[in-house]
Amino acid sequence: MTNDEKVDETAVPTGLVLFAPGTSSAKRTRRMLFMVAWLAVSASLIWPLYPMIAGRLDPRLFALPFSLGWIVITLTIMFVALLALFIADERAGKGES
Amino acid sequence: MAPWEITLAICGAYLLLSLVTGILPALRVSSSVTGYVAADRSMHLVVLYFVLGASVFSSFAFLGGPGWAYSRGMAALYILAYGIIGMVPLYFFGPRARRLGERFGFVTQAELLTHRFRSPSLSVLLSVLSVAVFIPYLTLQMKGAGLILETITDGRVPFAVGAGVTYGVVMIYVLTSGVLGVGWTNTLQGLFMLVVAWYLGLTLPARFHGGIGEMFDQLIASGREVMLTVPGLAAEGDVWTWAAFSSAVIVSALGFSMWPHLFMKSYAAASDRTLRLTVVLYPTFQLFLVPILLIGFAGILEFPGVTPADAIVPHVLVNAGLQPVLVGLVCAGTLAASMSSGDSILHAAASIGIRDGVAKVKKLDDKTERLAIRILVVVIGLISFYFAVGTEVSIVALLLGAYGGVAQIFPAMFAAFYWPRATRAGVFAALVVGIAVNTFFLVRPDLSPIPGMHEGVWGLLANVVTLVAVSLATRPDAERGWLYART
Repeated sequence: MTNDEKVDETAVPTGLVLFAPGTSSAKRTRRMLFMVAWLAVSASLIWPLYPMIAGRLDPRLFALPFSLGWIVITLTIMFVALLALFIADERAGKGES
Repeated sequence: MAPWEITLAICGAYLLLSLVTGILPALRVSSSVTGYVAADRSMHLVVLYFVLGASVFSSFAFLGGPGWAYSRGMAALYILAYGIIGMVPLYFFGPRARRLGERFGFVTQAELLTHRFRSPSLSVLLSVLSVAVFIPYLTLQMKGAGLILETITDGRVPFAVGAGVTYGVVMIYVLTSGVLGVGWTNTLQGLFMLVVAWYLGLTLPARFHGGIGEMFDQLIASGREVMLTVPGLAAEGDVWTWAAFSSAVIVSALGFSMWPHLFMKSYAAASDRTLRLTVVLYPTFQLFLVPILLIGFAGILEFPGVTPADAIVPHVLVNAGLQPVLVGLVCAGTLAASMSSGDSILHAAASIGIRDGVAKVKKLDDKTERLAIRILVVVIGLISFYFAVGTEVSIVALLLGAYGGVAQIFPAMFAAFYWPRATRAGVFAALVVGIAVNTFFLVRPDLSPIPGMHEGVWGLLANVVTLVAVSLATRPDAERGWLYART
């Protein structure tokens, strides 16, 4: 990962460049935290986590079987995480990507 | 008038209205591709929200989702699962695509990748892939229209006639004036269906079973625990495998933001902020799938044996003793959802096929290009109609199959923005290998190393390995690589 402030743009690194050169460290941290949350939610919706967490009927959530209730929970978590990221991005100012 | 006649009359009136507004010159929307697709790069939050949300308002959600809940139970949850995580990538690369689109005048998805990798042949390859994945998507919309009209008239309007007449209307207005009202009509229609879905999803379980909790209690008492526990049932009625469920989620989630007609909406956003906020609000659309699935569950004990299962929503509507006028409005709304998705798919497929495909091989003048697009509209429409009438595949299975192809674009798009080391040869080879492997296991699922695993997973694995290996063995393009990595 090339995260140096000054990069030689005539050379190309072998690894990924997840952030544009010059991205603030606060923004990098924020985005990495969000990615962790996103990956965790994704993992909880597939094998092996989904059957471990919610492969059952009870307890009922909002009158729904737990596997369906779990989907509503993850949807809410993702919505809140996205909203938090958006608000933080907005506060940090425009012009960043 | 018999109730079915009132219902049919309302649907007929809707079709007629679509036809008239579609062909009257005064009411035409601009048929210029830039004007339509990129909307002068000025789409604001409300419209963009509903335009993206409209991807949910199609036959897939209204008929296919409940159809799966009715016949396969919690297997239908994969649809919700991939939607929750699948729009997120657009938060990150959407704004980059938007800024590059503004700077270089991109209209289609292929134009961006072609620019990044300086490769017109990549454009041709992507256009072929796009047309190939749009055909099952259009087929399922046609199936939806046919099923609604067949069910509400109790077979008096045969499936083929219903699908044929509806899509005859769609084809006429796509041919004469491009696409029918895009923004506000979709918005109003979306709002109406949103209200109806919540109303029916909450009231039908109460009407049939005394409440949502009671409905699930009665389903469990009838010996359907397996169906109500993830991963639900397979098409044949035995338990669906976790490999199949999980891979369906992964492949669809990666493919979701890659649909060419959706990706193009990045260019249409007025600002990065609008685009991001739309992604943030997207889960509110996903939530609407919950009541929609409840309609399917409500039909299980009340109306056993409905075939095809995709017809469960119109079947419930007609037989639940609801007001014929309400049934007619809901059916017209569902028809509208099929048509508004169908027309933009048909239009996008034909324009992409010609502009990104044929025009890159042979230079076409404006007049020939327009004619070629129209010819392709008819060809794609007829092929899809042939599949809609001739195949028994469920609506959800059709789209799930198409996702294997769409998801193959993801590694290329990710590399375009985040891996400057990716090369033209790498991306081209990766797409070819990914599509080939995906197609191989689509045709021969019996040879899959893990039974039930979605073929798209094998395609993606081969795709990524090829992308990395070939890119590292070829010379990178430092200028374009950095341009995309720092935009």
